[in-house]
Amino acid sequence: MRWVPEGAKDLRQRVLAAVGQDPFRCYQCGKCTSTCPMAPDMEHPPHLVMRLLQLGQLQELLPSASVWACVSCETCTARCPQGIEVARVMDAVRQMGLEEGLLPREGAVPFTEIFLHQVKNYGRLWDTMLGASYNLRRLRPFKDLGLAAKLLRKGKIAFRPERISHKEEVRRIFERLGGDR
Amino acid sequence: MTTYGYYPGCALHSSSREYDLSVRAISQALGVELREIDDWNCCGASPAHWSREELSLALCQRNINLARGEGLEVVVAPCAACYNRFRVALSTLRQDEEKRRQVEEALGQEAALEVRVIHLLELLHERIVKDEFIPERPLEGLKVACYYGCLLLRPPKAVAEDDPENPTKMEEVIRALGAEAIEWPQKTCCCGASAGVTEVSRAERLSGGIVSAAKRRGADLIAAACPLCQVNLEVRQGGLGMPVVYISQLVGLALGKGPKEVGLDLLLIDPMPTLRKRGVV
Repeated sequence: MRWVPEGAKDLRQRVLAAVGQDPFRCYQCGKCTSTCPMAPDMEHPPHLVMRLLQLGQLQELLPSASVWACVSCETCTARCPQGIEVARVMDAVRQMGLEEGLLPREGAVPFTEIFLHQVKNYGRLWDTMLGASYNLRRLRPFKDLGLAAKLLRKGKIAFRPERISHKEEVRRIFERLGGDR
Repeated sequence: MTTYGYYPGCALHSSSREYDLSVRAISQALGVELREIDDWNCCGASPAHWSREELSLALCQRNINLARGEGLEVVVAPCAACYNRFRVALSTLRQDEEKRRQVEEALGQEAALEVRVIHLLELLHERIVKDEFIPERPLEGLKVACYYGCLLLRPPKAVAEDDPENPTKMEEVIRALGAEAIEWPQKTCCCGASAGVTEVSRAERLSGGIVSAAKRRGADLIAAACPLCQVNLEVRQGGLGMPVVYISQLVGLALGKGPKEVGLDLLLIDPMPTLRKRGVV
């Protein structure tokens, strides 16, 4: 009988429930990693994420910035010889990090929070404030100021957000399906 | 005249309004009336599916239900990211009953899954290549690098309307306009737009590689079909001076529209010197 590490079965069920993909089908060929444009920036590139899931090593995986470096280009999904939607597995790990509060504090995590906060409150994205809020939160308000000046000249800076009429419908979606902490 | 639903998405209402402008400018000539879905919401883009899959599905499905409520059977999305999320939502909800139940509960109504969502490129290909369109002002001599990026093609099962490894529909449109489409292997490589705000050096590494490859192959400009790719390729190319225009802007020029009518003056890297040099404006 095959030995399955402690916790690995539960973890497999969590990934299956979240995104419908089975990490146990991965045979570690490494094609996802060799094709991943962000692999050079990852401590745990995609094939290692799959391996750590197979071994039940969630605690090793969650605080790492690796899955948050993924840009969802879906090249891994397109090329996996086992037909695993690897990019969705990366999503599942991000989601478990949000649920357990084990997260890197920079990069895509605060970006995601600001983005979803806007969508929940206005129904649409206020892109001018997306970059500005992110840079403010990182305490580097002057980053990309040159770009902001160019956008201002082209009339592409929005001084207020667009709001939809039925904001309550979008709010209800967020209340029922969570996602924003 | 066919009536299609139109989902511009957030970028086309703000920082990429030249894309919206040029799509609206060409639609009549292509025999399509685009009706913007009333009270549409953001599709949630990547942050929604990173946080919870069902959230992304429900944000998309609300718009699809609105379209259905207006009697629209086909919705055109010019943004590759919105298009991608809609197609993934429809395909997931058709297959996964449990997720559909959750989404319907959050929406307070049944999910309309029979609506067809297409990307602008599909419409252009149908009206320009299949219908043998004759350009009023052919873009002869202009060398274009057609850039597809990720989200028009991947994940292939849900979104690709072309060969996901070597797509050619954009090149076919460009040739029908009288321009030359260069061959290059970077047309489906990721530009890193989703890291464009948070990890600038990574976005620059990817975008710079793509733009310099187009330059080496002798392209005059890059044509994009996504506002996120267009902006990222423009601002994170590392000062290579390569114009990046929307495919709809080139269609507009070939239809005889003026540069301002298609918003060429709103781009951050001015394509006019290149277009003048090639004698197409």
